[in-house]
Amino acid sequence: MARTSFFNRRKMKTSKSKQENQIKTTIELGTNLADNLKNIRTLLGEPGDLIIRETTLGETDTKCAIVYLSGLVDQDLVNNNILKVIQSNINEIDTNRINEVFQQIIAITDIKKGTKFDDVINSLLSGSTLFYLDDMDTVLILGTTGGERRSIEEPQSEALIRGPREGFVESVHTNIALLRRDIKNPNLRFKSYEVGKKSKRTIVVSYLEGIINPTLLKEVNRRLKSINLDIVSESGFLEQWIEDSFLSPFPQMINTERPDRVSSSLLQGKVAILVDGTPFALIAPITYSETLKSLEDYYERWLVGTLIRILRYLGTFIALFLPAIYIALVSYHQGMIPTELAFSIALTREGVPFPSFVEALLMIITMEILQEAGARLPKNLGQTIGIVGGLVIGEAAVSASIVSPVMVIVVGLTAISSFTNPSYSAGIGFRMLRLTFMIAAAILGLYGIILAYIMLNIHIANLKSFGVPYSAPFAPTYFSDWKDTIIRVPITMLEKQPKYMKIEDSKAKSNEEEQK
Amino acid sequence: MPMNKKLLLILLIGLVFLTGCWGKVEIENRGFVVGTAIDLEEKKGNGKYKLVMTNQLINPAAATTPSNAGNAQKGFMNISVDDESLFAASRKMRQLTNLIPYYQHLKVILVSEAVLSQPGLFTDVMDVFVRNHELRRGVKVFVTKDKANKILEYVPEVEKTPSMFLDKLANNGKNAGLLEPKKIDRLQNIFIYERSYFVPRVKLENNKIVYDDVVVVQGSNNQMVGILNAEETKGLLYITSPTKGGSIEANFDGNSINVETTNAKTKIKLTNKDKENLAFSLKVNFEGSIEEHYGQANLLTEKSLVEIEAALEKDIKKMVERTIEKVQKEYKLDVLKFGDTIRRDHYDLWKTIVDNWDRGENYFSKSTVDVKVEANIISTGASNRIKQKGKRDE
Repeated sequence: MARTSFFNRRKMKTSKSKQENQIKTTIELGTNLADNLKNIRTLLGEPGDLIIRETTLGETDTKCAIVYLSGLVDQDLVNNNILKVIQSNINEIDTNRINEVFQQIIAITDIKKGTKFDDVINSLLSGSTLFYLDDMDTVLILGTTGGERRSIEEPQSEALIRGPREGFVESVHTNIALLRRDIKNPNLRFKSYEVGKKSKRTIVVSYLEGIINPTLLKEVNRRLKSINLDIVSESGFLEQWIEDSFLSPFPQMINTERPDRVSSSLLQGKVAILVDGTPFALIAPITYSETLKSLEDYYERWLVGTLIRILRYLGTFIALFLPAIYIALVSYHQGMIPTELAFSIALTREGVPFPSFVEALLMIITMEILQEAGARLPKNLGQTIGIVGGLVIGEAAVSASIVSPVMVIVVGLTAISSFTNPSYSAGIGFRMLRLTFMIAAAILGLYGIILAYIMLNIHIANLKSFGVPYSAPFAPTYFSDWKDTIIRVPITMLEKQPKYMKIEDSKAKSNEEEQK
Repeated sequence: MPMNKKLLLILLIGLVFLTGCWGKVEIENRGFVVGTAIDLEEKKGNGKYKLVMTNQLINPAAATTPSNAGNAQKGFMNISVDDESLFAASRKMRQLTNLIPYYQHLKVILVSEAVLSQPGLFTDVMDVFVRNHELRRGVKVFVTKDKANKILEYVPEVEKTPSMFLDKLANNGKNAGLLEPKKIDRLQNIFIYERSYFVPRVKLENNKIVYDDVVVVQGSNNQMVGILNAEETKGLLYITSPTKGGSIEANFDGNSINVETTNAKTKIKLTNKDKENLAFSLKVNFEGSIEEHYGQANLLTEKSLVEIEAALEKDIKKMVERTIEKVQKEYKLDVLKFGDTIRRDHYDLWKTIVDNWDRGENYFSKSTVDVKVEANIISTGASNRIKQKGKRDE
């Protein structure tokens, strides 16, 4: 019997993914300047930001034109290094004129020749300036990408008390520069891809040659090549396209705004994927314990770091299980509650009309709504949420006997604990799982919780992130990697890269290659 | 085909929800039983008994709010039902209250002396408590001098229910000088090996609960044979659980002196293996600190310490010997676990005497016990001198 496609999540849609990244047009580059310019105008629909400056080369009669999209280019560069030099003294131009302009006149380092109209138009759209010369079917593509962008700021989503304040920005070039500043190593590699059918985006795969496992790199490249999207406007699109299991509640890549986080991952033999237009970089592969790590664990002294880590594991446990355990204990296993507490819970639940599951569900859903509303609200309205959520719903629901005060404590503790997870994406997964556990507890009590927990563990044991088991270093046991999981040993004992990344293999291989 | 499989999956998941939530009872619908009292109403002719079972249920509203003078709502309610069996009685109780009796928080079981005086009835009565899956193994069992359900009506001042009061009283620290209560898991063990044993007794005197003596029960038929009074129980403490000895008063220099146990150990050894003349040596190693002294002598001298220690040794020895005497000669029942010493150290010998240990030939009552006490004062308190003769400021 063949397995149903419902379960067969590893099946990759490679057959369909014939690359169609290019924007296809039927227009060819001609030799007539006026025709060429007209082609561009009509293709782009004569937009207001399309600047075409027609002029002559120096004092000769040769007509030429500079074409760019304002806002995407560095205006100073265009004015000083292109327009000025073209208009200044050029007397003679030989037959191979474009080469001369290319080599001698224009004072810009990043110059390419374009012979295909599609290439040319793509460069124009990504901020290059085009230089047309009459009677030539070759166009100069001048790298003048610039314009207004956000400057480097402190990361909003991953603020640390101690640590660098720089965060990634939307420009991939700036981000690459930030990484270069962090790792000054000639083996640091940046491999660019252009992805997107309707709009092309630059995707940069970053890794450290010599440390990275070549099979991992091959797999990342294979997956990136299979992308068949119209547009990659955020790294999230990419993540969802190349992740291992789309049914899993756990993220299989970490997204981060912090260059220091990326560079420390690169040094562990991981791959970072930067996408132009978003400050969020992806790190792969990851394991479960990785989602509970914060860089601050390493920046603080190891005792503090370990304590904080243990707190975080505890917080995750509470966020996942507390409402479920409350339901199980109050509805099924009252004998497991300490005697006096059992009496007071019984008292506070006196007069609450709902079973504990409905009570918990009401509060959890309310909390989720508050959380969601708070996240989307303008900052100056944030206080309203606090008052409405805390006072009206918390206080009033208790005095109206809709929920018991103990339930409010449980929900409050759960909400606070779920914020201990340093990764927002991983936290969302837990919010979903929490509901599952609550349902399991409502149906079968503690037995149900254990059943659901076993299922969750089976899933985690089955999950892989780019070939690395998600439960490493616990399930494929790498004892030496336990030093940096729940506890974080002194930094002096953390010299080696994690074993589960199989870096030894790659080192051995690269050594062999060198010998050959 | 895949469509069918998906349908099957959905149906299978649905199955989980169809079964409903079996065994689910919300906490506010539970009637928490914290104490159970068992009394003997009458003995029927055909070897059956009519028992009265009294359950103490918690009234959460009154049991969790702090009491103030005006609001004298009781934190509990007692329900009594009589029947031939306790389980049937428990089932009958469901009809008397809207709450479902719930035994997982049961703290104490009180059994009246009347029940223990019937041969074998005590084990039968305890059967349901050991057998029932709802019950914990740590439930404490007490014997009551009079009607057991009278104790459950006592209103303690700090605790809300007499059951919780008894539960905590028996747990009270190591220096309280109180006997460790018997728990049902221990009783089951005793029943199986047919050992003779003692069970702590509680009684009401002047509307106060008194917990200072024990009932001695014969192992062969689980019938009560007598009691050890408060003084003898103190001696029992020094033999079975010496660290719980509490404080002891001794005489020094004509004045009384109070010494509290800080550490104590008792060792029992078999010194003569002849069946007919078994001899044991019992050694109590006592360490204590002086807590109170009436008089003005300087205690922190070699001479006075030795004197105090000698006085203590004499007192403890007297207590221990009196208890042994009573158990050995009057009741002829080994509730002091001398038998355990033989079983542990001389198993071959034990096999030959086990059937005649404290029954039949009764080697136990024929044996001799040599008691030795070594007392040690380790401290005279935070300050040695509070007052002293002839030290007036000159």
